[in-house]
Formats: sequence, C-alpha cells, structure tokens
Amino acid sequence: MLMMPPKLTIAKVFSEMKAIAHSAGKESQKAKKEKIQKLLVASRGEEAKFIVRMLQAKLRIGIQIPTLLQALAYAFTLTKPGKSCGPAAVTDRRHGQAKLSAAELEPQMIGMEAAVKQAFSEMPNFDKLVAALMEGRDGSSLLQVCSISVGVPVKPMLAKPSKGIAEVGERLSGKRFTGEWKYDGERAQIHVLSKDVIQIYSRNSENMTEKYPDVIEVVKQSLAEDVQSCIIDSELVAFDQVNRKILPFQVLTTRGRKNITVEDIKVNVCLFAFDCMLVNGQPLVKEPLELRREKLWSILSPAEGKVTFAVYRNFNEINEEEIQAFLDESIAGSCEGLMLKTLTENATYEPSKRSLNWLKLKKDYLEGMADSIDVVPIGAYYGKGKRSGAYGAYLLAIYDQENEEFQTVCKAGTGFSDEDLTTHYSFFKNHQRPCAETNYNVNDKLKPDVWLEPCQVWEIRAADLSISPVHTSAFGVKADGKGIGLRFPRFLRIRDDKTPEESTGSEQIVEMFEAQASVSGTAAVDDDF
Amino acid sequence: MAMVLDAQLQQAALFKKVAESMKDLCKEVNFDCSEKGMQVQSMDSSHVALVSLNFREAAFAEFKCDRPVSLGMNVDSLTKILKMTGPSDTLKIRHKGDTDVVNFQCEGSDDRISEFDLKLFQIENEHMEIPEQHYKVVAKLPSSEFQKICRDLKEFGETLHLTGDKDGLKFVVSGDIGSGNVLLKPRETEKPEEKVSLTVHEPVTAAFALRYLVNFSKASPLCGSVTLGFAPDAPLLVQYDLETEDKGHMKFYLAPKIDE
Repeated sequence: MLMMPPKLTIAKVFSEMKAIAHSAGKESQKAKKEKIQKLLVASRGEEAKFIVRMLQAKLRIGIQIPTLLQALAYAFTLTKPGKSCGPAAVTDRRHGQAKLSAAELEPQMIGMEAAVKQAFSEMPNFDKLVAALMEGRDGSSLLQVCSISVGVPVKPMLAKPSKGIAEVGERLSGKRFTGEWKYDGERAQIHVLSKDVIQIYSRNSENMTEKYPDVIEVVKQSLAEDVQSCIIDSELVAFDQVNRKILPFQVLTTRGRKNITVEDIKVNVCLFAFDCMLVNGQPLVKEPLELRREKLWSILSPAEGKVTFAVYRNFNEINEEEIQAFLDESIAGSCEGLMLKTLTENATYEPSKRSLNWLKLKKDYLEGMADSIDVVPIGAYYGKGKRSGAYGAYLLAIYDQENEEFQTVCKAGTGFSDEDLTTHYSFFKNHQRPCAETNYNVNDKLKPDVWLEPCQVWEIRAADLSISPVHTSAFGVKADGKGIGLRFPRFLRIRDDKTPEESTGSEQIVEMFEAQASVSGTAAVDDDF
Repeated sequence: MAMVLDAQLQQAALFKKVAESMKDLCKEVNFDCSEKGMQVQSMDSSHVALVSLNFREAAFAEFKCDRPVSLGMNVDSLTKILKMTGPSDTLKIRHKGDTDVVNFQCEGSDDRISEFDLKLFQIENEHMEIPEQHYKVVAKLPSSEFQKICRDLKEFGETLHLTGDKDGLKFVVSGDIGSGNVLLKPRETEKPEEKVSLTVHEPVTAAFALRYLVNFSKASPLCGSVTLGFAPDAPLLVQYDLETEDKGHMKFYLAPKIDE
C-alpha cells in the first residue's frame, strides 16, 4: 500500500453502508465492490472482521434487537437528554440531588421498555425512534410519532404453530374466534401511499414492488373510491386463471424478481387479503380483528382470480368437529391449513409478534395426516454459527429397488433438536466415506461436505412433496428431468428395525405425491413445470 | 455573486486528456484551485496508486482564482461533459462562490457554444504529503512505446519486474504460458520525444502490478514522452508533462509489489 487511509469513523462507515444499500442500476455491482474495498483497505485490526459481518447482516456479538431496545429504554429512563432551550441534561437519576430509588425507577424502566418496543414494532426505524427519544418523549407520547405509517413496512404478525385441534381448543376456549384458510404463497404487506403510489413488502420487509407490477395494477383498480391510503396484510398465491385453481407454492417461486413487465408474466397471482392495519392515515392496529376485517372488506372490492379475501368462518365457541370440517375444506381448496384468530378479545394486530392470539393449524402438524417417510442419511454439511463443530444439515435419500440406488429427497437442516444433532454427529463421524458410494444418485448442486455410509434409517415427516429440479427420487416420473423432493422435513426418530434398503421406495413417493390434495386433478399443470 | 474561479483554456482537448487519464483510477476527485492553478491528489480505492495532477496557471489562456476553493467532481461525469468538446474548441471553467455547480462552456470556431453545469460533491480531502524521492533509476522514453510495452506484457502476467542497469531498461513478465521481456537501450534520435535516456545511480529491480501501469499509460496522449523513476522498496513514479513542462504535469505513483 502506498499510504494508509485515514481511520474509519462510525459516521463514515454508516454513510458508506447506507450508500452501498442504496446503490442501484447499471454498474452498481462495481460501485458496491469499490466501496467495500475502500472500507476494508482503511480498516485496522479487527475492524475488517466486523465490516464483513455487517455486510453479511450477521454481527454475532450476542446482542439482538430486543436487547438494543431494552438498552435504549433504560438509557432514556436513567438519563434524560437536555433541550437547547429547556432543562439541562440529566446525567444519571440514580445519583445526585434529584435521585430516585431503585424501587421508583424500576416501574418506569419497565414501562419505558414496553413503550419503546411497541414504538419500534410499529415504526421499525432506529433513526426515527432515537430522534423521538431525544426529543424527550416517553411512554405516553412516543407512540404519537412512532406509529404505523404507510411506506414503512412493519414486521408482520405471526402465528404460533399448534399440534392439533385439541390444543387449539384449550387455547381458544371461551373466546370468539375466526378460522381463515391458510394460503400457501408469499406474505405481502401492501402499502397504498396514494392511488398512484403502491408498494409491496415481503415478510422480511423487503421491497417487492418491482416483482409484482400486476398486483399493483389490480390493487389500484380494486380500491374503493374514498381510500387515500391504507396498509393491507395478505398472501400472494400462484393462481391458474383458466381452471380457477390455486397452484402450489413452487409455481410462485418460478416468477422473476426484477424488471418484470405485466406483459411477460407467465405465473399469475391472486391476492388473498386478510387484514388491514391502517386506513386513510388512521392506524387500526389497536382495533379488534372483527372491526379491521370489516374495514378491509369495505375498502377493497374483489375481482375474480386477481384479488379476494381469505375464506373465513367465525366460531362462537370451540367445536372440534366444525373446525375439522373447515380444515378439510381448506385442504381440499389447496391450502396449507387454517389460521385461527381471536375476533374481539385480545384481537389487536401485534406487529412482529408470534402471538398466541393467532394459531396455525397446518395439515402436516396434525398427526395421521401425512404419512411419515423412512430415509437414509447419505451426506452431511458442516454447521455454521452455533452449530459449527458438528454437522448442521444432512442429505437424505430413499432407496429405489428397481435401480438399486439411493436417490435424494431432501436436505434437512431444521427440524433437529440440539440433542439430536449431537447424537447424529457422534454416530456419523465414525461412518464417513471419502467419496460417494457408486449407488448414490446425487445432483452436483447438492454435493455434501462429507459423504456418509448408508447405515441408519430415519423416520421423518414433511409438509408436502413437490417437483424438484435437484432431487433424484422418482426421477423423470412426474416431470421430465426432475425428481420429487420433500418440503420442511422434520426428524422423528431413528428406525433401528429397518435396513437402509428397506427405506421408503420411489414408487411410494410417487403415490404420496399423487395423493396430495394440492396436485390432485392438476395433471395438466404438471406438464408445465 | 462573484466569480471565484474563471479560467479559460485555449484547447479543451488538454483538459479532456487529463480527465480521461484519471477516470480509471478514481471516481471522485477534488480539484483544488488557487492562484497557482489546479491541483488534484487522489488515491484509488485500494490505496495502492496515487494520482497527482498539477495544472499550472501558465497552461491557461486566462486564469483567475480569487480564493482557494475545492471543487469535488465525479470523473466519469466530467469526461462525459468534455466529450461534447471538439479538438480545437476553447474551454471556460467557471465557479461562482456559494453555488454547488461548476460551469463548463466550450466554444468552437464555428460559433457554436455549448454549456454544462456540473453538480459538485463534498469529497473528503485526504491531502497527502508526497515525500521527496531519491530515485536510483530515472528513465525517459516515448509514452506510446511505454503504453505498448505495458499492454503487450499484460497479456502474459500480472506482475512486471522492472530492471534498470547499465544494459538498459528491462521489462520482465512471467505467467502461465511462459515468460518474456523487453529491453530498451538508450538511444539518440532526431525527434526529441523518440529519445530514450537512462540514468542509473545504482542497478535496481522492482516489481509492480501491470494492471495499474496499463491504466497509467492511458495518459500517453498528454505528452510524447514519459518519465519513470524507481528505487528499491519505494513507489514507482510515472510522470507525464501536460504537453510541455511549464504547463504542469500528471504524476502517478504505484506501491511496489512485495513478497514475490
């Protein structure tokens, strides 16, 4: 190096990072590279490590956003920012003349924490939050400036998984609730800033507006006359306009991501709206679901196959048979299951919370609905992060009797308890193979870090089966050049009573695939995969 | 509002060449203007190379600068503007105090006047003191020849080993397909710019990244000859005069490659 660049400052790194995030268009890749290079060249000692981690969005310093929010809340309770023409800054309320006792401070700190967390869930922007706190706002006035607003996506409200109807009954007994079909698509938060400016955000608050120009158009046409702004929570689902059928999630993933024009769209989507957080500048998050739904229905007019509302049924009390019947209907309608939500009591919209007021009842959570599958681990991938030092994921295969080979069905990374991971690792580290067995049929893209000897059978359960371009089970049977894969596999137990050759066969996989409601009767669609 | 900078170049082409020769190395640079002229100092993003331009007041037909001012410009945008100029157009560069633009006006012999206001940037000033170097080897050669050697050798490898000794100036490269070299001996010619001269205080071999040298040699249109200066474990100097010495110069410095 010719000359060491000046030391990095927090403000400089921040502005460079922001510039990287905002660079777009032609040669933006190059511009980003140069900015990163500049930062790295100027970094000293450990700085480079953290710059890279920031870029990966994995800081791994043991502090997550909740900790940060708590820290902010405490800081602004214990010390108070001074005002230019008002009271001077209070440096520490635990000391000095106006000192408060721990017992007095404690409730204030807890109250502030709740306020800060609520404010951040509605306005997930530290810039605005800290600015509001610096103005001296606290629990009572913070939400006035940090409330849900159009153009700032909030983290969607999430549902707790439930294991069965019995469990649902316990949780919801005595409350009025509603069941909605749970569509298998992409969560979409639609922000209508004005009739001409409509944005769509993903579950992770990424801007997907570019990806769905067709949806923007549809929303524009379906909005009621008197709506100037609103935020709608919805699910975008691939939809067969000709046969009026919901298509599986995989079809949706084949859509392009950028530079989409309405004319070129091959995969049509239908918007299933189910909630509404704001209408004409008025936040509705504190209103009960029943009222929010009423609002939603009043601002949007459905258009067949393009925009509609999630199918729902209200229940005044738990009736397991009726729920079961409604669940069966939803599955017959190509849905994943049901969402069960409280209607009036504790029925506010809680951004970013996995609330007990929303429960999901998915077909694969229900015992006896999907057959379990017996598979053989044939490869493993090293774990990252807290799983480093063991295998973090396994490549699973079934045995095809006819071709006498192991064919892959899925890669399983989630769905293991930490205990499972340790057990599997200590078993398989002694059963490694230097290369793939000759009877392994594995796509190059899935090449594991370590090959394993076929010596154990696992019973797993999966959400459903789908056509896969990488997995080799039942290869070419359902789609040319493609096999069948499992989605969301979960490990159940080790089957000591089976040999690897006795694992599930490829013909069974085909049968299960055919038995799925989401594909039955859509033979014509299969060809288009 | 008073004009802080009011400069006129007889030939826009000179400024165009200056901008072209910087654009592969730096994205945004500060033109530091004072009554002495315009100066630029900038490093590339990996801080391996330094560009130092000294555009003397003498190079301009008219030059007025009331107070020192830094004009931060995007080099790519600047080259785009200068593309509008013809080879024999005159160029006026003007900046009013307290505005965030610099105005370029070029006038051709055909009475066509084009004008452009370029938005200025706030660029952090990293002014560097370049220590006086005592080069052990100083060579002067035709700039087109230097450019050709760099381009030719870049095909074979990434690193150039440059040797100056009593035999002459030797450019050595090695790569996957083999190795080769070009030896330039001092020579006298009728035209001064085709001359090769070499001063060796002590023999030196040093290694440099060819990629940068190719970028530097894009400044060849500035001047018929180029001066190279190097010493062990010291940056290489590649210097072009702006047509003639009195108008100023464009200097490039490149850190040597170590551990090879």
